Parts: sequence; structure tokens; C-alpha cells
Amino acid sequence: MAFADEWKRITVKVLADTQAVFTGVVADVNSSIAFGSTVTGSPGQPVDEGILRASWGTTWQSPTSALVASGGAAAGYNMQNEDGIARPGGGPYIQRSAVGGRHSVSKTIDGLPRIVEDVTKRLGLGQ
Amino acid sequence: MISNSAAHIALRNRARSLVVATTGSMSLAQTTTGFSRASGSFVTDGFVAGMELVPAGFSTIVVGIITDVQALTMAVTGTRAAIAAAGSRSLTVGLPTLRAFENQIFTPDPLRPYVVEEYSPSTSEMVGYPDAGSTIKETGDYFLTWHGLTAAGAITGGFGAAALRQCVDALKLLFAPGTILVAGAHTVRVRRNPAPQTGQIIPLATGAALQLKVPWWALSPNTIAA
Repeated sequence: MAFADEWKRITVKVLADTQAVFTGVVADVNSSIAFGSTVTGSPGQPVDEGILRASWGTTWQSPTSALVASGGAAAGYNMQNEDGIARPGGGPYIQRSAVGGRHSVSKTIDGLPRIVEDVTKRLGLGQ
Repeated sequence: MISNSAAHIALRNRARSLVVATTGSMSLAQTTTGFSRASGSFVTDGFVAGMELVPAGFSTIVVGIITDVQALTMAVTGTRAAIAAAGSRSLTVGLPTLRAFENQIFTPDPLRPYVVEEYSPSTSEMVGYPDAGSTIKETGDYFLTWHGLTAAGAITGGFGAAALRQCVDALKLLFAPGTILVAGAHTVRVRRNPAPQTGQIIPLATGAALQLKVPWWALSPNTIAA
């Protein structure tokens, strides 16, 4: 095999691996925020009727860009479940669900390097 | 493993030590509308309208909200009797005196700022071998949400962002990256990446809130009980 062919084969594999890692990371970010994760320490969303948890979804914007976001029916309270600041009235924010907790987005962002490491290991790449 | 109780108390005690602005011990007089001094400057000391002021050394102590700051006078909400100037007194802005610490009954006062704390462990993992005697790394966050006032006393148009921002900035300085806190037999360290950060001021019907996030990590030896 010529050097150029070998180089092309490596390039194709790197691109494929990168795409696989990116896809896996985005999926784990969504899952960490919505359901919680031992990798990030995110508790996931509180659940009463499941509207808040179901409001989290991923929009694939391009092969290298994705948006993980919440909205729709949960738009009125998704932020206060994140930071614990009761809107609009203020005062103590009380979580009534035994499932999930606060700061799931924050902890997922903090844990992003660990997500990348975990996905890479799962795919048999890196270490 | 670390004692989360000890880590929590260590972080809380760090927050309790906050001094946003102070006169230090000096000669001060109390007026019916606030406080006065003969020298120095309340402005230079860092006082800003909207902060909660705690007097010390006076015969009667009435905590109030600063509504106006001049070099030699400071207007504060609340009713006070005039007290002549004398030494060994101080005026200080620190952590709000109303504190919603975890799992305690708390009722906010619409005329006073308050702070809400959350101690939130995140991850725990072994980082060495063998299991016995090796190291466990734990991470988590300490959230402090400062609820400030939008208006009080003669200030009806709003205090603006300065008081809330300066208070939380001072709090953030207490938790600079790399800060080491003794937590029982172990130490809790403030993380470098992510480092402590504040967010956006959240306007509320009863004032405005600003949250400080303090990410921490700690190492401890793994001890397996017999």
C-alpha cells in the first residue's frame, strides 16, 4: 500500500472515530441532564408527570454541532429546576419530586471531559 | 472517603467569614437616619446602597439596608435613636444575617437580603490501586444564592446592580481557585477548571438573585472496614 493510500485510510478512520465520539458525547450530555449520570454527578430532572424530563431533546444542527435544550411545556419552570431560584416570586424553591434534583446542566458541563473520556473508552478508542 | 458533613461546614464557615465592606474599629455616631463619622470615608470603605449593614459596639444594634452613602454620612433603613460619637465601634457588610442553610426552616423577609446554600456532591472515584489505602477523589459544588433587594426605604427606583454584584464578587474572592479548606481529617480544594463563577442577576418579584457556584474536589484514602 502506498503511503498516500495509508494516510487516506488513517484520515478516514480518524474522521469516523471523531464523529462516533461526538455522537456519543451528545447523547450522553442529553442523558446526563435528563436522567442523571454517575459520570458527571448530575441528578437528572425531577419527575412528576414527566413533562420536564421529556422536554429535553437534541437538535442535530450539523455533523459537528448539536443543541441540547429544554422548552415547550416546561419553559415556565425548567430554569428554576436548574438553579433553584423560584421564579418569578422568589422565596424558597421546594423540590417535591423524590427523583432528580437541581443543577443537572451545570454538573453536566463540568463533567464534559469525563463524558468524553467515558465515551472514548466505550468505543475502544484512546486508552 | 471524606466527611461530607465536615466539608459542608468548612465551605459554610468560609462563607460566614465574608466581609464585603467595613469601617474597622473607629469612632462612629448613630443618627436617627443612619450613621456618621468625622474622618475617613464610607465611600472609600466600599459601602454601597442596597447592602445590609450590621453595626457593632453601639448600645442598641439595628441591622438595616443602606440607602445612601456619602463620605461622612450613611443613610440606613430602620428607626434609631441618636447616639453620640464614641470609639471601638464598627459598621460591616458581610454575609446576609438571614441565611437559608440546608434543612432548616426559613422564612424570607421581604425587607432583608438573604442567602441560600446548597451543598451538592457530584462524583466519587478511585484513582489508584490497590483498593485498600488507595486514593478516592470526590467532587461537588457549593452553591450560594444571594437574594438582594431591589428597593427599600427612600430608594423607590431601585438600587441597581452594584450592591448585589459587589457582595457576590467579594464572596467569590473568598473561594478563589486553589483555596484549601480543612474539613475534619481531610482538605477540600476549590477547583481550577471549572473555577468558581457567578451568573446573571435574576430579577424576581421580591428583589433579585445572584448565584455563586463553587466547584470543589477532595482526596482521601480508601479505608476498608474489617
